[in-house]
Amino acid sequence: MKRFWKLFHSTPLAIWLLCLVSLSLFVGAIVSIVYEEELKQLNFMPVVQWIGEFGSQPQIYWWIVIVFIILALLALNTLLCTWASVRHGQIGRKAGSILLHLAFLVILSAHGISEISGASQSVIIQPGVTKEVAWAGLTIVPAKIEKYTQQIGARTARMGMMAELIVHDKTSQWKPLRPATLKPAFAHGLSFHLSLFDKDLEKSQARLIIRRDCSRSLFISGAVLALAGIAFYVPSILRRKQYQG
Amino acid sequence: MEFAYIQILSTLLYCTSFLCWLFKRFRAAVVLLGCGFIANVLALAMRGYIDSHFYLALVAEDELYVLPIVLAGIALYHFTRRAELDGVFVLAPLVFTSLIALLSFTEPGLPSAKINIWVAPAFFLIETLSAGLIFASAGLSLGALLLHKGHKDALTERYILGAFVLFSISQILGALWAYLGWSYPFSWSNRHLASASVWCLYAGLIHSHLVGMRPKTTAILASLGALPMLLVIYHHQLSPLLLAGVGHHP
Repeated sequence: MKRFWKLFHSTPLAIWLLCLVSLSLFVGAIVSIVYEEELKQLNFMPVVQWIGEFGSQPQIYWWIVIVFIILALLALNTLLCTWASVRHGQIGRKAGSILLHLAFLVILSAHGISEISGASQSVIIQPGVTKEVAWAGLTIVPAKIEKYTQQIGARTARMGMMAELIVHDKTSQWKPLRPATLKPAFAHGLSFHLSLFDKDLEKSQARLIIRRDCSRSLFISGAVLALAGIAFYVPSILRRKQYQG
Repeated sequence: MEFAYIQILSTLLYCTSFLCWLFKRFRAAVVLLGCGFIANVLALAMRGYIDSHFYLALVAEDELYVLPIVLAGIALYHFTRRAELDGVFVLAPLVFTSLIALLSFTEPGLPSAKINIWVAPAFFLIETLSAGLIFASAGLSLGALLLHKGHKDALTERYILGAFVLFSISQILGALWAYLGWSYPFSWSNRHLASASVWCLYAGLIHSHLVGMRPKTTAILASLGALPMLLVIYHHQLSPLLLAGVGHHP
């Protein structure tokens, strides 16, 4: 147990893990340029299902496996380092640093939950055409789609859209929703987003994204912790010798 | 399209300032840099002026054109702190980014739904500020390696810290914007992956003083940070080049 603690409660290890994960993500960024379409699908399905689908093409996902392994080790390392700071009574002195580490852990967990259990589907909706979303057990009845434009000189700017929908669930409960561009609506534990991508659609159509993601509140908590951490961390670190000219 | 000429003028002024700095004409370099900065701000402001309306959000989103201004601002700050030889390593990324902005010159886009929320322009603006600091610290670190400087530089350290803090804030805003617009806070695209790569490397750099990392190692890591950041800012320009390089034709 002591050896385990010594091995993982180490700042040099944290630095090298961060550098390694950075390198793997950079390689992933290059791979994602070549396999853009395949990786885009990962935005809409759990990672295990996605790897199952592209299992015969390891050149697309090998780096994701490496990223996940390093991130798991990094999470363990961060947890132990943060715990050590708390145990040694440094909460007051290292408040910013502790909050930032906690934020990292919370956001990483949120990403993990989202990648494992999140589900999502993009559907094209049109007034009068009912859509079934089988995995969510929903029936969507679009009533109205309104697109906003603004004339700027000779050109027309697209300023977003709004949709009026009625969403029925399995128990025949229904709820009217009004999602708009950049203003999602929420019902039945799902979020309903009108996509910004609408170039290939007809005037009466819109692209609706339905998403189930139980990590939303974790993401928000992580973001709040991170901002609080930054607010505490920066003034304290600027007093250090290395930042003074 | 008058702003195109002003953009060309600002790039010329930056290049001349760089040459003056190389030949140790420091005062002339600072004056030319200041003029280039003013011309660049003017060109950018004119890009946002469409049909007798000024769209601040459109200006903030133009990362390609905002970045040289940020770097020019950092260079001016750098020179007010001390006018030494390493200033040229802040000017080099400025000249580079300014030339890229000129070479990939496009007409300003039309306003869209994005201008109705503050998150999108705030994200782009803060990300560009952090990109400027990352390129400046990468340039200075590369300079330290080339000049065989054996000590850590307080200004470079401050740029690294500033870059990390601003980049972290921009990633939070970016995640919020991506969630509102596309339903996911993180996308498996080259831009998002390169951003995550930058964040991880800079998080590592922030820890370097805790382990007494050698200045040379810190400088190498800070210089390497520019690579994923280049992909974040110039993914539209770099992606086709890379695809052509591996024989893919989109």
